Amino acid sequence: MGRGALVANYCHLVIITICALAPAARAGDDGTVSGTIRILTPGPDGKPGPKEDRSKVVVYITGFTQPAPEEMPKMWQKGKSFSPDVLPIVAGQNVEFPNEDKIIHNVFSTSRARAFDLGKYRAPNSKTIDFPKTGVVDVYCDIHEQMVATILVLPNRAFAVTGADGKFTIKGVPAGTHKVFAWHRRGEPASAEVTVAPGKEATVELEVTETKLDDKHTDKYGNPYKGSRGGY
Amino acid sequence: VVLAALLCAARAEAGRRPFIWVWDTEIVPEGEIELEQWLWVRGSAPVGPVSAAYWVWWGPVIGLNSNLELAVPFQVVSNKNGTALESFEADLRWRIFPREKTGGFQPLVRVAWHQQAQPVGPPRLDVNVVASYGSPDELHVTVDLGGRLGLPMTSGSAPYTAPLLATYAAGVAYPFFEGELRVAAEVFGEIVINPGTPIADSHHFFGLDVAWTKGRLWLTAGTLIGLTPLFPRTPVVMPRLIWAVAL
Repeated sequence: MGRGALVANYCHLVIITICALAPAARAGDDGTVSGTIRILTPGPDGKPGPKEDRSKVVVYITGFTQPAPEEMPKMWQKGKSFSPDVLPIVAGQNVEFPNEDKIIHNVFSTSRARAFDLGKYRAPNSKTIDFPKTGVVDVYCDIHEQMVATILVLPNRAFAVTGADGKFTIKGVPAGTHKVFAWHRRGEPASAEVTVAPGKEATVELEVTETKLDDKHTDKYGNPYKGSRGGY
Repeated sequence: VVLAALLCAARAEAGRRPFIWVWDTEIVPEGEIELEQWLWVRGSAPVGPVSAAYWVWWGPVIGLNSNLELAVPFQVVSNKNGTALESFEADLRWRIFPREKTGGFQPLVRVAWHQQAQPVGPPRLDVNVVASYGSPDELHVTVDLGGRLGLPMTSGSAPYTAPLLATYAAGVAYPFFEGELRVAAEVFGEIVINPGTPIADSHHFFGLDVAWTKGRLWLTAGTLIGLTPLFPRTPVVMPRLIWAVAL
């Protein structure tokens, strides 16, 4: 990961952390936030244009905290990739990392929000790790450079991941005015304010601009990947 | 050149061990191997047979799984009589909770089989019970209680009194620069508890350490200072440098 991306992730971590300090949500008085995300990506001429695939944008709402749900999400290692490769969770949740490949993988992160190294293991083994703090956690494999994923550790359950059409729906949002963010791995987060009334649906449109063309990153020691370690 | 390349690595990783004598609870990740080396000196003492000796400890440390690591080092000792291969060890460290569970209370049990090589002598069993509190990137406290027992059943028919030594150690470490640098203070002592051995044979130390981690390399340097005025058989100093490279 480049220095620019690191700074962007750090800023994003600060935003999420500050938002996590907000008071806990009260039960009831809930509404829905829905909308559409547009992604702009640089074209051959360098000018940004709309991207057809608008999936894997995490839309989340801040301003209140909620306890982590009981269920434990899984991020599989399968076909030399992480699945899902974008995973929003609530601070305090554990995530399981099963390896379903017959080859060895190493799952690690050097992100400030949660640095870890699960070591090398193969199918059918699995490891679990907790994410106590809010922030952006970039997850990689130290053996296969192409394996890239991100876990967004959020202060509450008010989040959704867009499909290819860019649409999202977030239910159970407490009434009031909140800030809603759209996060994309290759872009800067976009935000807007939304006012939610009890039992009503508020809509919001956001636009994310891709600023990175790839997911280039270093290995867990901060060195470039060696070609021979790119897979076997 | 290799060292320079290692130092140029851009990313800091969590340091392995902030103390030179206290065993800690971090272990190598599963499937990883670190080559670890210690250079240390056991200084002379004003009373008793202890003269200065220079030691090298070298061996691979292998992460067996999320709870176990195994070190298989050998030691070379040099003193006024010469230099010799002193011993081999098989050193197993069992972290009770998996290494993915960071921070909080972390217990570890260390069991090491120590085979003296030259002169060939009876083996020794080392056992340590270690407990730490706090993750590497915050204030970190470790307590380490151990024992070293000579194994007379393997000494043949010669008359043999099994030496029994109790050890205590404790340390506190604090990180700087996002954990890249850790400063630590520690105490260490060894008490001979064979019947009839005067308590004056006990050795007691305090010390200061600096631990640094960058990329594939971590190193810890420090020195123990003996409480020699109170325990005259305690060596005056015991400096040690530990470093390891992840393969």
